[in-house]
Amino acid sequence: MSTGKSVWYKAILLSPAVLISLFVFVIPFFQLVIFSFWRYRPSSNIPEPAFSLANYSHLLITEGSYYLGVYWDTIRIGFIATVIVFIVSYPLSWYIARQKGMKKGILILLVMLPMIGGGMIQTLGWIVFLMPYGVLNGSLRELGIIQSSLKLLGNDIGVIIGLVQSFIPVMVLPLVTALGSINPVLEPAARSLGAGPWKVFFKITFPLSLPGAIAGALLVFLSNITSFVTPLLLGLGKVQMFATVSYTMGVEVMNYPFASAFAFFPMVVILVGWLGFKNIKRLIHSKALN
Amino acid sequence: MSEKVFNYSTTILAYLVLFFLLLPIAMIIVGAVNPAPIFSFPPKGVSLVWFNTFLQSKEYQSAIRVSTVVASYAVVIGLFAGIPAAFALDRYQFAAKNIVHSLFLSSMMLPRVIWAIGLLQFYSNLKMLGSLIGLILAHVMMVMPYVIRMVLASLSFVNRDLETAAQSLGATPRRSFLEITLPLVLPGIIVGAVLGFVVSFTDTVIAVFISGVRNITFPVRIYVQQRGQGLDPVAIAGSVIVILVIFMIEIIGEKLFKWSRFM
Repeated sequence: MSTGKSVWYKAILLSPAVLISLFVFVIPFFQLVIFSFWRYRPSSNIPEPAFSLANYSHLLITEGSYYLGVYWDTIRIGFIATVIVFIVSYPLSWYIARQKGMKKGILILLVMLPMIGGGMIQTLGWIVFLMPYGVLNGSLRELGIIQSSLKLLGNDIGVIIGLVQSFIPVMVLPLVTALGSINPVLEPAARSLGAGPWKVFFKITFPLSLPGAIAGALLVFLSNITSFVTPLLLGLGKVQMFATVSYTMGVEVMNYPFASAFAFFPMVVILVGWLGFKNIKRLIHSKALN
Repeated sequence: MSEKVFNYSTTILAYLVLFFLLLPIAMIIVGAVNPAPIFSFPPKGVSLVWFNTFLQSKEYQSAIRVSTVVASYAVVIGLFAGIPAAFALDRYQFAAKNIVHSLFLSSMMLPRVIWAIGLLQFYSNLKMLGSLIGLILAHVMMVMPYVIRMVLASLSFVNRDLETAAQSLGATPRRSFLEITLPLVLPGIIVGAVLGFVVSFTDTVIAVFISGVRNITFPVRIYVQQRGQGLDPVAIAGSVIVILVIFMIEIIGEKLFKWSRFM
């Protein structure tokens, strides 16, 4: 809808946002990529300019067994957490999608609360619940159900629990929208043809909500594999994931070139994978049309 | 019959998941009222002493102050940059519009940790690590997507004919903007500002990576405490207060603006 405004007018409107974005986001990102090819100088923070694959070879070959292991653990834990989120979000989303008015609004507010409150606060709550003399272990011991505390922190279990809870809202909100956008005549139509409610869900509702659900699941997976506070505090430093190792390398060791390589490598993989996926899709599409 | 089973099961499952979702918040309340300095369950009593300690604590109050200052500046600058940008995106055509739009939303889309590493090095190079202005600028970038998104959503509800009608009745473009458009966009602006404030206030990742020792925000304070000395009931009490405030903001926002429709 152009109203013939001059270039200068639009530029003025856009420039603060563009300048900030370039300075605080784009340039640092490019610097990260460039630094990943430079050499680490232990004496100063500024790496030595070079064009070297030393960091990448260190990452993938020399210490490959460790760092590739970190990547793998991250994907593994992230995947498990995502699957759990996917499954448990459905009943809640389905229920919320069916509500109306104030009740729906309140439910959405409640779902959003942990998300807005932030991972830090949720993590504290989980520690109170899962720690050796915390609410869960304390209650089970009082009731005589267990003798010694369940070890739920400092391992994958605690981290997965924390990740699942953190990102259920990320799945539920789009899923509620997806479920709400299904043509309202379809389910009653199926019922009138004799299908029971379970069949209606699995044959009509679920398949139609799937695109939105998969989009949500991808977002959850991405959030899981890049999560920082949850694995760090619930893993008690013993669970190494992408973000925690990035922190160690970047902030503690201050080996910026290597930290950059460590951070950038997965992005390359994802980019390649995504491009490949798009092209495969296009191939399948054109084959189907023939 | 099968209908009833289906409805009961889905309702029960739904509330179980909701219970799980809100469990940590319930837990920090349990932890905050436990008078013992080292948490254990079952509790030996109930007390509000930690809330008092939190409100008296110099370190925590300073952290709250820093977080508030940073978030306030971030929102103000974010509004200043984001509102005109949203208008430009909504109403005008220009080159690379999609790319520019994605650029503005990028801090919300890309993983914060990767951005944090890049920012860490960038600031280190410029000797800006640990500076307040560096932290604020980073938070502006975090706040902007929320402002732009909410203002764009609001603008999509504004019927352009209203402005045309006002001008056909003799109003100047400036007046029609101030008296017609702006009031209609105000809910989006306020929702974006408040949401941005909360996002900035609760940010842990970026702050931990770049804030250094001079400007310790509230989440960083809790993080340092947790990593150093373990679970601190004062931190838990502070978190309860923060969550309560956020919840009240949510309710007010919903009552005034019905902002859940923006989500």
